[in-house]
Amino acid sequence: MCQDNGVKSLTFSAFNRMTQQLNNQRDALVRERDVSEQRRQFSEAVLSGVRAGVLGLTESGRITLINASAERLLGLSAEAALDRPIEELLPEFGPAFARARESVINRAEDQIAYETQAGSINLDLRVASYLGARRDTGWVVTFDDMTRLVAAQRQSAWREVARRIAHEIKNPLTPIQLSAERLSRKYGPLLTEDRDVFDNCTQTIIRQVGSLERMVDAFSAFAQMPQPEFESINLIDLLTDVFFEQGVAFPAINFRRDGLWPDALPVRGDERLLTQAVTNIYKNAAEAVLREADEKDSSWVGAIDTLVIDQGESFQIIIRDNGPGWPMADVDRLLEPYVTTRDGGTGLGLPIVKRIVEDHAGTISLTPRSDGQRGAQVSIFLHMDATQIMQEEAAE
Amino acid sequence: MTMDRRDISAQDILIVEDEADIRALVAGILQDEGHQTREASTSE
Repeated sequence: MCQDNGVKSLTFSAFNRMTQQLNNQRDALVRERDVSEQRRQFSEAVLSGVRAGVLGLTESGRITLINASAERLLGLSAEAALDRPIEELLPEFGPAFARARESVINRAEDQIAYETQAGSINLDLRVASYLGARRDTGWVVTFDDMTRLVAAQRQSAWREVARRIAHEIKNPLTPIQLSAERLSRKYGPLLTEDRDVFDNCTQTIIRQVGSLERMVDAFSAFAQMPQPEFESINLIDLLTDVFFEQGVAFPAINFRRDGLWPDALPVRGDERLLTQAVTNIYKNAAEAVLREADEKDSSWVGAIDTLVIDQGESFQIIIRDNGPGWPMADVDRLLEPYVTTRDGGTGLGLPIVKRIVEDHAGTISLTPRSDGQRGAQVSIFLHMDATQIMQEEAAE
Repeated sequence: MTMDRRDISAQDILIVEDEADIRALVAGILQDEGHQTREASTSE
């Protein structure tokens, strides 16, 4: 009996120990599940919060995860992206992915230009592999939007070049001009024959040096364009003035108001700079139209249409022509200094417009005509000046 | 105000300019006007 009790209590205690162990194990599992659930939620929060685009891929390259930034940067919805092979959906990403798969360290980096509906963006791309929970490998693709940085780098590099060239060209201009003047002063009176040839030559040198100097000045003026001085202006008045001026300057072209223009577009802006911007757009359009007119017979009439869309807090000015359209696929490059497809073009017209619009916190885009007709279109988005609107409402 | 040319004639002028071309040119122009010139490429 006594022994029997002993065996029983031994069995009980063994049983108790076992239940305890089972309990502990279960608790540990639950804790682990909670931790991994917490981790998953944490990763998801991180992924949705970061600015970088993140894609998760299977071993073969099917997309299993796409974060919010990736959807926004690539202009894709998760539904459209999930389970699609990356090379098929995003061919620009293909080379980096292929290199990562071939590489011994299973990593690759790349810089690509990616076409979205809103235009081309520069992406800095990294591909790396990871070992999944079930020993399966997968890929993580992360990428950042470098568009603004790339543009800023190009701009500042270009500005430095402009400054140096301006300096280097201007230096020898002074001695050239002074030498020509000296020749003319000292030897002109001594010449008894062909005086006019001598005078013509020296005057040509002096005149050409003068025009070189003006070009260099314009060049460095762009490199260090003035900061705008903001005041309250009605942009519709400014636009109307330039519209009529350009109509007079290009009588062969039909300048048309497309739809009704609003009475007022209150903005905080620099009148002189904004006038220059609008004038440059019209000039650019007019030159395209006149080139087209050379190709067509005399019955063809060039036209430039101006559309103003009031969007409440902001507005759009759209200027479109019926010329040949933008000359290259990578249209945005025309907004960079010194990119021109025309003989005799300075390549500064549209970059100046871009500078001015951006200094006014606006944006500019170059596109084909949105109404599907042949020709080029420039759209400018600007913000209304809220304080002016309020003052006007108070006055009413 | 008018200045009599003789007032400034035959001055002795020191030209300090690091660019040889410009130095020679300025010296030449001043000599044309009847001045004496001396040249230096630095102020030292």
